[in-house]
Amino acid sequence: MANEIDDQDERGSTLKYVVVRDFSRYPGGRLKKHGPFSGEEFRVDVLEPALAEFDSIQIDLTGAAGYPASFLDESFGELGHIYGIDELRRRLTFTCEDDPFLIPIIWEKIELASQETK
Amino acid sequence: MPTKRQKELRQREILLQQKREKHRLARQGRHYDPNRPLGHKPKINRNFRAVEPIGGRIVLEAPPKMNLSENLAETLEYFEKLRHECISGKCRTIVTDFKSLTELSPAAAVVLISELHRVYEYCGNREMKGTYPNDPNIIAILRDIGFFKFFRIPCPKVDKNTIRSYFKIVPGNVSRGKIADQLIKTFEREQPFELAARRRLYDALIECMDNVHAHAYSKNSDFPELLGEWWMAGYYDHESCEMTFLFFDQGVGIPTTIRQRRHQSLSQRLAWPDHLAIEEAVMVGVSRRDSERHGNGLPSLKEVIDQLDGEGYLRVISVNGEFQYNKQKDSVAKELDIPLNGSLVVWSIRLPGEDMAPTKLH
Repeated sequence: MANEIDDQDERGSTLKYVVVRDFSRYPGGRLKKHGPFSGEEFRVDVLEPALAEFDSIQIDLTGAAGYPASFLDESFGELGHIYGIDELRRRLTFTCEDDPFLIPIIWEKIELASQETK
Repeated sequence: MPTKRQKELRQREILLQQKREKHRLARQGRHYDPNRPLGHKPKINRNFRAVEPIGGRIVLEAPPKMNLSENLAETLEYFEKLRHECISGKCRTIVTDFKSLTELSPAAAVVLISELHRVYEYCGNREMKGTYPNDPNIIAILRDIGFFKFFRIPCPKVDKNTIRSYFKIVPGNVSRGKIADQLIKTFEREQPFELAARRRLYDALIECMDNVHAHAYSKNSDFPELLGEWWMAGYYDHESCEMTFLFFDQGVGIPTTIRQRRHQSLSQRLAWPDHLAIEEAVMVGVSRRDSERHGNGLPSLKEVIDQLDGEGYLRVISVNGEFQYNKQKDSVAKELDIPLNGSLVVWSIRLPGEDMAPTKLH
C-alpha cells in the first residue's frame, strides 16, 4: 500500500489512505463475488487490517467515480456492526473534497449498522 | 492507437479463443458457431434439461413494429415465441426474419439481443439463421446499438445515424465500475453532468448490476437462463436532447424477488400485483431481509431522476407489471397482459434547454 504513515509517538500511529490511489477509482458492488473492488474487499482487505495495525485512519474519498450505497454499507456500515460507532468515531476520519455530503451518509450507515444486533 | 504487433497479438488471441471454444463445445457434443458472441462467457444453467429438435425448419417473422410502449404485447409475444422455438421447439433450423421490421425501439433491441444471446447458448443442435431488415434505418439502429458486432455478423453498409449516438450494448455478470463509467462518459461528450449527478448515476448503475447478481436469478432454477447476466446500453437523442440508459436482466423479476420477504402470507403475496410491488420497490424500497441496510437499490434509481435538473422518467417493466416514475407528472403503474421475461429499467433524462422535441417512451 503506497499510503502514508504518520507516526505520532505519544498518540499512536495514523494511516492516511487515499481510495483512488490505493484501492480503485471505480468502487464496485457489495460483495467480492459481485465483482472487483467491492465493499467487502475494501473492508476485509484494507480497513480491517488497517484498524488492527494503526490507531487511527484518515480516509480520503476524493476523486472516485462514485460510492454505491451497497459498497458503503458493506465496507463502512459493516465495520460499524463489528466495532461500534463510538470506536470508529475515535479512529476514523473521512475527507471528500468533491462530495462533502458523502461523509454524513457514511456515518449514517455506520450508525444504522452499529444499532443492529450481532 | 494499437501498434501492428498489438493487433497481431489480439488476432492471435481471438483465434486461440475460438479454438478453445470449438474444443469445449465438441466435448459437449455441440457444433462450434463462429457467430456466437465471444469474449465474455455467460454462465449456463446446468439444471436445465435440453430438448433435442426432431427436424424441419421454422421461420419466425418479427412484427413490423417492435417497441415496449404501443406495441408491447406483440413484441413480448415474439420474444416468447423466439425463446420457445429456439430452445424447446421441434425444428432443427430456425430463421429469425427481420425483413418486415419498420420500427425498432432501443429498449426492444436490448431485449432482443439478450434473448438471442440466450438462445445461442441453449439452442443445442439447432441451426440459427436470420434475415437482414429491408429498412436501412433499422439496420442503422441495430448497427449502432451493437447488434452485428455482438453476434459477429457482417453489417450492411448504411448511412450514419445522425439522430442518436449510442453506447453499444455490453453484457456482464459482475458489477464493474469501469463499464458504468464508460457509459456515463459517452453522454458527457454530448452534455456535461454536474459531479453530484454523475456520481448518483454511477451509483445507480452499480446498484443495478449488484441487484442482478444478488437477487435476480434463482439459485435452484431449471430454466434456460444465463445466470447472473445483465445487458446494458444507452443513447443520446440529438433532437430531444435526451439521454437514455437501458438495463435488462432475464431473472425471475423484481416482484418475485421481493415477494420472497419473510413474514408475508401466501394470500398477501398473491394479493399484491406485480405493478404495485414494483411501485413500492421503487418509491420506498423493499428488502428481502428485515433490515434498512438492504433494499435501497431501486430507490437509488429514482434519486437519479430527482436530483438532476431538467425532466426525466424512470420506467421499470418486470414480469406482469410496469411502473413509471415521472419527475414532472404523476407516476403510472399498470399490469401487463403478457409478461416480460426478466426486468427492464429505463432512465431517460433531459437536461434544461430550449426548443426540444417532446420526450417519448421507448
